[in-house]
Amino acid sequence: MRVEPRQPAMMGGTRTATPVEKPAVLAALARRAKRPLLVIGHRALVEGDGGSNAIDLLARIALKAGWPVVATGDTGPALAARGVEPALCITAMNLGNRLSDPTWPGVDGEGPHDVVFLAGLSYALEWTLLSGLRHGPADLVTVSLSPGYEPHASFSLPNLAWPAWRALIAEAFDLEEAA
Amino acid sequence: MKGIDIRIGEIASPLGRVRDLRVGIGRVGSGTWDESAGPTPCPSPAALRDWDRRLLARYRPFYMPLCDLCCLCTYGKCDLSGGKKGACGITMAAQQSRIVLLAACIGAATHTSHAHELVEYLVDRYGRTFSLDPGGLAVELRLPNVELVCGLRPETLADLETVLEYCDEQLVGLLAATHTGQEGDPIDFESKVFHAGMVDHVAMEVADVAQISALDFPRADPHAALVDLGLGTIDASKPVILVVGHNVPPAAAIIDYLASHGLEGTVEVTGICCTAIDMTRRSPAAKIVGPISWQLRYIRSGIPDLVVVDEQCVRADLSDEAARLGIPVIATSVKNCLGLPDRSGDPADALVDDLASGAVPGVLVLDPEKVGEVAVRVAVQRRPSRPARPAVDIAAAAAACGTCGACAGACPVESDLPTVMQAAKAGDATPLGALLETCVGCGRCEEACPQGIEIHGLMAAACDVCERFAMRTGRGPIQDVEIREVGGPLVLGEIPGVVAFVGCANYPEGGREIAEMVTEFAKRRFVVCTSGCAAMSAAMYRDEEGLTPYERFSGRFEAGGVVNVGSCVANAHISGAAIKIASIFAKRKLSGNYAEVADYVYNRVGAVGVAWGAMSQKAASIAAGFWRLGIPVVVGPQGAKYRRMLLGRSDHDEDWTVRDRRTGEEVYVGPVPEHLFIAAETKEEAMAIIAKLAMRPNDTSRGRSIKLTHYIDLHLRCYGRMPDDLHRFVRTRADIPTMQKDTLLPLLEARGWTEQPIPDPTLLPGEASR
Repeated sequence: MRVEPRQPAMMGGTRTATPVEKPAVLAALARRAKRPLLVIGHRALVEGDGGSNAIDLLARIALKAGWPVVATGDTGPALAARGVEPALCITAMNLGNRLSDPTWPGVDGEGPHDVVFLAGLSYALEWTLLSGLRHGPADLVTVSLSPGYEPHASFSLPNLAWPAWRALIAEAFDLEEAA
Repeated sequence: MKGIDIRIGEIASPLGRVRDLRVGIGRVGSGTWDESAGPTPCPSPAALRDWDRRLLARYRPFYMPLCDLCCLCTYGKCDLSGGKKGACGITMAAQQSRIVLLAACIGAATHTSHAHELVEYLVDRYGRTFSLDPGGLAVELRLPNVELVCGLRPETLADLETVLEYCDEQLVGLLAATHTGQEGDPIDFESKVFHAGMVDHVAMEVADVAQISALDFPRADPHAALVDLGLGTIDASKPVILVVGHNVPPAAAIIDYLASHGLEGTVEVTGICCTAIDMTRRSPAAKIVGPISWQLRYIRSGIPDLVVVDEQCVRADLSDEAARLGIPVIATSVKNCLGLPDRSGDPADALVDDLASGAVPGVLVLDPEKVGEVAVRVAVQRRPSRPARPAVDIAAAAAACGTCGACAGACPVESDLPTVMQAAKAGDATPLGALLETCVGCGRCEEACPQGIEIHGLMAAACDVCERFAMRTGRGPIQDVEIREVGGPLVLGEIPGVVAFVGCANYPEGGREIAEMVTEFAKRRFVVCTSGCAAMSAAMYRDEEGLTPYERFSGRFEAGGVVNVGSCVANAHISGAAIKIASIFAKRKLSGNYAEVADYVYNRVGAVGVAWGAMSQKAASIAAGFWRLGIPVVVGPQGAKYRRMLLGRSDHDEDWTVRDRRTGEEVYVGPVPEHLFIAAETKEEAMAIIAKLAMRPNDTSRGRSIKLTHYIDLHLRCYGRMPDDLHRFVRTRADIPTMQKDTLLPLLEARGWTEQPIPDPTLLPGEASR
C-alpha cells in the first residue's frame, strides 16, 4: 500500500502520519480512546461506491462505538436520518480552533478530547485542518479515516480504493454486516 | 504631504488683475477639502496597532502551517514543529503570520504597481491636471479609502501619484518587517497584514477611479450596460482577439483603434479575467469569455487569432499554449514579459508582419497604443488562415489511460477523473464533459498524467457548449444618494446586510454556487455586490425564467440589488461604500480618522465579504483590507490554504463586550460578528455563516429580528436543526422573530438566557470615540 499523500504535493514537514494499514491497529486506536470524537464532513454524503456512500458506514461507526459526532458542512441532516444526532454542528475551522485549545471542554463539556477521528472532509480541507491540529495540544491524537493518506494526522489510513476502505473500516469496527 | 500648492482667488499685480490662480510645485492632494486632519493621516504600520490589537484580541489567529519548516535563510531549513524555535528564534505562529504578511504584501504591491502603471499611462495620455470624476454629481465623496487613510482629497490624476507614494513607502516597510531578525510576535505580524490590506484598498481605489475618470467607464451607474458573456456570444467568423489579465490600457487601446479606424463590429475583442470586465466598461461591444479558469480551454479552442496579455493571474505557460496552435502573443507588461523580445521601439508594420506571418511567436510591446494597432491588424490578417479547429477523437485519446489515478491525486477539486476517463474510453464522453462544470482549469491533471493525456482538453472537447449570458458591467462607486437611502436601514439592521461576492474562481463545486448564493441573498433583500471573476461566475447561470442575476435584480445599491462594481480594483468601492455610510450617513469625520470609522463600520454596518474561490495573494490582501475595517470575510474550502483563520470564540463571553458610549459601561453584546476570517466547507454552510456574520451590536430589535430570521432559516436548511448558539444573539424579547416567539422562548430559557441592554457600541476607549 502507498503511504504517500493522495495529493503528492502535500508533504508538510519532517513528520508524517503513521499509516494504519491493518484493521487491528485501527481497532486498538478506537479501543484506547478515552474521550473520542468523530468528525464527519460533507463529502461523506457523495463519496463511496456500489450505491452506498461513506456516510452510511461512518454513521454505523458512531452508533456502534457510541462516540459523539461533530457534523461539519451540511452533514447534520443526513446523519440524523441515519439515527445519529450530532453533538455539534460546526464549521471545520471553528472546530479545529477549539480542539487546538487545551482548555476547551469538548462537545459535552466533560473535558478535552484525546483522540479525534476524521472522515468525509475534502482532502485539502482535512489536510489543512490537521496541519493546525498537529501544532495544538501535544497529547491530542488525530486519526484520519479518509481513504486518502493524510500526512498531517497522527495516524492515517493509506490510500485505498472504496472496497478496500469499506473492508478495513468494517473489520476494525466489527461491522461485518456492512462489509 | 509633499510639494506646495498656492491658490489665489483674485490678485492685482503690475501686469493686471489675476483670478483663480493656482501654482503647484511638486504634488499635493488636499485640494479644497476643509476637513481638519484626524489622528492618523497617512498612518505608519504601527499607527493603528492599537485598533488592530483590539480586533485580534477577539479574533485570534488559528494557524494551519501547511509546512512545518522555515526555508527563508541559510540557517535553515528549520523545523518549527512541536514548539521548537528556528535558528533565528522565530516560532511557528510567527513564521505563519510572516508568510501571511508576505502574501498580503505581494497582493497589495501588485495592485499598487498596477495603479502606478495605470496612472502613469493616463497622465501621459490625458495630462497631469485631468480631473478625477468617478461619479459626476452623484459622487461627491470620490475616494473614500484615500480620504480616510491618507487624509488627502485628490482632484487630478497627478494628485494620485502622491497617494501611491504613500502606498510604496508602506509596502516597503511591511516587506522589510518580514526579514530575518525583524518582527517575532505573531500579533504584530497580523497587524501588519491588516496594514497591507488597508494600503491595498487605497491603491485599488486609485486605480479604479483613475480609469473610470480617464477612460470614461460607467460612473457610479446602477444602469451600466448589460454586456455579453460566454463562448456563444463570440462570432468566430470575424477576427478574434483575446486579452487576458487585469490592467486595461492595451485592451482599451485595441477598442480605441477599432473605433478610430471605423472597424467597430468587424473584430471580436474578447477577454478573460478582470481585463475582460474593464474592456466592457470601455465598450459594451467587447465580450467576456469567462473567469480566470477559462484560459486553457479558450486558447485550445483555436478561436483567438491573437492573444494579448497584460498582468496578474495570467497563466505562466500561456505563451506555450498559444505557440502550440500557432497563435501569436503580445505581452504588454513589464511584470509579465513571457520571455519575449522587447519590440516596443519597432514600427508597427514590422511587428504586424512578423506576428501575422508567424516569423516570431510573440513580442513584448510596452506601448499600449502600438499594441492596439498591431493587435487589430494581426488579427485581421491572420483570420483567413486560421486553421479549422481539429476534431478530437476523445475515445482514442482516452484509450491510453491506465487508470493509475494520478490525475485524481492532482485535482484540487477531487474530480473522479479515472472513472470518467474509463467511460470516455468506452465511448461515453458525457461524464467527462460534465466535469468541466466544476473544473478550475488548472491543468494539473495533465501534468500528473504519466501517459501525457490532455485531460482538460478532452473535457473541453467533450463539452462543446456555447452559451450566451448577460452581465451588468462594472458600475464603479456607489452613489452618495444611494448611501443616504440605505444607510439608516443598514445601520439599524432593517436591511439585513451587504454581501460582497468577490475574488477568483477556485471554486469547490463550480461557479454555479456563486450565482445561487447571489440569488439567495438578493431574494432575502440583502444588498449584494459582486466583482472580478465572481461577478462573471454569477452571470453564467440562469434562473427558471432564463434570466441571469443581473437581468433579474436591479443594479442599484439597495435591498435586493445585485451590484457589480467592476474588476478586482473596484473592490475598493465596496469598502468605500462602508466608509461612506460612516461619513455621509453618520457624519463621522473621515480625514485620517481610520480607527473611529472602522469602529463604526465594525459595530454597525452588517457587511460580509465572500471570496468563495479565493486563490491569489491579491485576494489575501483584499480580505485583509476588509478585516481592518471590521468586515468579516468568508472563503471557500480552498481558502483554508491561506494557512490561518481569524476566529472568534462564541463560548468565551468575556471576549464579547463593548463600551456603551452612553453610559461608559462594558456591555455583553454576543459574538457579533463571530469571525473575521473563516473558510466554509459547503455553499449551504457558507450561507448560514454569512447570515450570522451580518449581525452587529448596533442592530435595533427589529433589525436583529430580521437578521435572526435569515440565520435561523439558513441554519435549518444546512444543519437540519435550530442553531445551538441562538441565545447568544438574542438580546431582548423584541429581538425574537415574531412568528417564532412561541418556539424560541422556551429554547432560550432552557439555556438560562436573560435580557441584555442594547448599547451604543464601541471598541474604542472613551477619549478615542465621540
